[in-house]
Amino acid sequence: MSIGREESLFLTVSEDHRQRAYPEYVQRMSAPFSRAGGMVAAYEGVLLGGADKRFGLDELNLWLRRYRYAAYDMDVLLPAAHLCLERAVRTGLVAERPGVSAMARQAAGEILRGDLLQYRRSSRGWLYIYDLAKKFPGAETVEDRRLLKNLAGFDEMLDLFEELSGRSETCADARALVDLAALLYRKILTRYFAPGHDQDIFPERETDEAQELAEPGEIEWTQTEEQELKYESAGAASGDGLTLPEDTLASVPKYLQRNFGPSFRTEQAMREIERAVCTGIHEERKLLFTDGLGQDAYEGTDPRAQSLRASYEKNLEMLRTHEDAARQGRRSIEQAFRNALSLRSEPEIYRADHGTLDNAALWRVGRCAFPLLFEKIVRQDESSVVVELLIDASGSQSVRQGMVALQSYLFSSALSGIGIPHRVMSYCTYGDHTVLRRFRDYDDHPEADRRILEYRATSNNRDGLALAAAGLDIKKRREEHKVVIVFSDGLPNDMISGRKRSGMPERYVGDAAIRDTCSQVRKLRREGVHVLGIFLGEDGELENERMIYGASFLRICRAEDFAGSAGRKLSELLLSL
Amino acid sequence: MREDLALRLERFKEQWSVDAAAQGRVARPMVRFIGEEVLNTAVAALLQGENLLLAGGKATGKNILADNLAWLFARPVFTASFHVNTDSSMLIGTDTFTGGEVRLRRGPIALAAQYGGFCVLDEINMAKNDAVAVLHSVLDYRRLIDVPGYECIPLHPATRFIATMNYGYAGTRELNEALVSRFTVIRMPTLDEAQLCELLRADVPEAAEENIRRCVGLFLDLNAKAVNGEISTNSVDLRGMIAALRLMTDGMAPNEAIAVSITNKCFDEYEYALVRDVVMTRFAQ
Repeated sequence: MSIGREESLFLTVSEDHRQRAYPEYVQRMSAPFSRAGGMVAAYEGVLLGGADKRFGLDELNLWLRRYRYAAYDMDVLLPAAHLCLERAVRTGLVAERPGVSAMARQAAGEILRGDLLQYRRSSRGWLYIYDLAKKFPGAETVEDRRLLKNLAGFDEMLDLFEELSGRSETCADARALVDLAALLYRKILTRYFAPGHDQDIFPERETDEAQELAEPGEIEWTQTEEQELKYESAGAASGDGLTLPEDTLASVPKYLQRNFGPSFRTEQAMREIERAVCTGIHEERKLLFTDGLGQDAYEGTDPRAQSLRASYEKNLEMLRTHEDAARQGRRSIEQAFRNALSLRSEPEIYRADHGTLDNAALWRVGRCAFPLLFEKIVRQDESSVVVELLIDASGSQSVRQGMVALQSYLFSSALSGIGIPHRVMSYCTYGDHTVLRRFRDYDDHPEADRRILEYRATSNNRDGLALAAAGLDIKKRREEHKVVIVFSDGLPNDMISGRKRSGMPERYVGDAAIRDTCSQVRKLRREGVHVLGIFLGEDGELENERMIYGASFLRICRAEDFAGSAGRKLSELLLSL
Repeated sequence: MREDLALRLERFKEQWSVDAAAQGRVARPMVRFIGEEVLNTAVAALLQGENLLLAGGKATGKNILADNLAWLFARPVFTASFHVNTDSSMLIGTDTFTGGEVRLRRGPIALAAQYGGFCVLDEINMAKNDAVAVLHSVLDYRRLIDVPGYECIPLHPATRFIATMNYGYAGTRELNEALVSRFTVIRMPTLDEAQLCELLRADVPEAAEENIRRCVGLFLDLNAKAVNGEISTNSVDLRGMIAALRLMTDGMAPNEAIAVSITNKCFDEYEYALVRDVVMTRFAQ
């Protein structure tokens, strides 16, 4: 289950833990608050949870829709409904959950300090500032106080506003609450404020601050992300550069077949896997498990062969340049593993006054006060280990492609050297398809490690989906201890292919993607799989990595650091199993 | 407790007195078990000579029930805590040198067999199956322990075994059929709100009623999240709740007491944020 703070609180406060989407108008009403993030979004979770418990979100939606049919302007009615709902839910919840008041105050402070909902931009918004300032005295800023002076002389309107909004506390059901919001709409919001007043542009001085803030939900394009567009038909991406048109998506399977190779699973097996893992945020996505292209794809003069060869040569060059270091690194990782494994299997023996009699110590009887004639033998767990190595093959890794290939190769050959069964796969996402490219299977011979040098970094990455799909296989393995190691840059991101579907979750970017990866990692851990992240990204993404893998992650800054740090970390892990 | 069971229990106690050497192990439990139905089932099974396997999640009172049963039957308690390296010598006994000769140093199972005690096999599914195979002859109709090099130790007629396990907990294993078939299994139900309040009240009598209600509410919130797979069971910690209540009665601010006893036990940042949010709704910062 992939949940963030808002959803977690929604599920807890509503006391119904079935994961579900908000109904249409409730979603529209709540969206600006959810986008604001921080405590505003967290409190929105509490609010919707409380609303679901007290009124039922479907009921609320039903009555809101009724006013839509009556041609109410929903951009005006929905904020009014939110205002009434907040007051009704907060007062109803506070006896059971006294902390809710403090959360509401903190959320109000955040809204006003950053003008997160752009209340300062319209006179109707001033009314919401007035409401927050009344409910939570001291939360308003100097700027808010200055704006509120504009409401001087409207005492009659403000009294009526307070009287009406105060009635929210006693609303018995969803209908009464929505009717009250409609009353506010008729008596105040459309009576005292001219239609379309929200669109008024205020003088420069008043809007400076607001303009500095990015539009909530707007996604910033970076150079790295632009690189991820580099594949066939991506140029046909729609104007906002995010959603691929249907014909482009339709051409993806053929493209993948040609550039990544055919699937090594049957159609039925794929259907079963997709049914198991393509759920929630990954709904309707597809998976491709492939062993890559044959040797003939690297031959010839066509652009594809040239590009494949160039990529392979680049990785090979990296290996050649660091040959000595690589050999040394491999040896050191191998030795660290070997030590850890032999420590694990070696029984601990110490002298004791009970246990197995040691004949050679019998001379001590009568000669020593504490003869300690026995040996206590603590046998260690001799269980077996299997490793899954997942390599992020998204475009953001292309700047360090050679280094990633080299380190993965080192790691895999060290595991081969000590006979730990392991599989190595890279993952990336094209359109609706997440490609899992297998370089070597669990029980392949050590020679197969060399195929890791065919690693290429392109396109996007759905880390959560790749983890879930790879997890299915490792969970079926007979070995007692299962370890998944993910080489990534802590940046799960599938912004280009994020085709919008009605009722489907948000795009796989930012918090949503991190949240999903977090929850997949925890899910695997709950199922007894140890998940370890090896971070190869920039400082800015370090926090994401920490969030995703918790304490089980390792940062590699330079290729030379890899052997020592990775060997140590893996040895620690093996010893702790 | 059912009247007929109480009557038979008295007869059992009269029939089997406790050896003076084990008298110190008969102790009144700190906490009374709440849940009469489960208690009746357990007493009835033990009176019939059955051994019990208590299976249930965290904070369902498995060990409390075991202690309460031993007290009700007035039997000495011997505990064996299972872990991955548990072997037969830890359970039954091993050699030692006393009085100029090598003798058997009895483990908890041999002691329970000798004194007619109740042996609590705690977290029985943490050990490997081959380690617990040694229990087979102890738990079935043979009721004896065969220690190589020594005489067989027959089980005292009042000896009973009560195993506990948390199914699906990290580090646990499947119990094999042969072992499970030697137990009567009781699935421990999760305590409801009223039972939890009663338990906390009994444990921290001086705690304010409002704080008890809030702690119980928080415990149920976190338990629901864990049951639905949103968080792990790290923070579903009744012992932590009791500790927090004690700290509150000592004057610590409720939110701080909860932070040190519950929230800070989540070392994972992601889970910590989710737990902290739930705590925030119950305890104002």
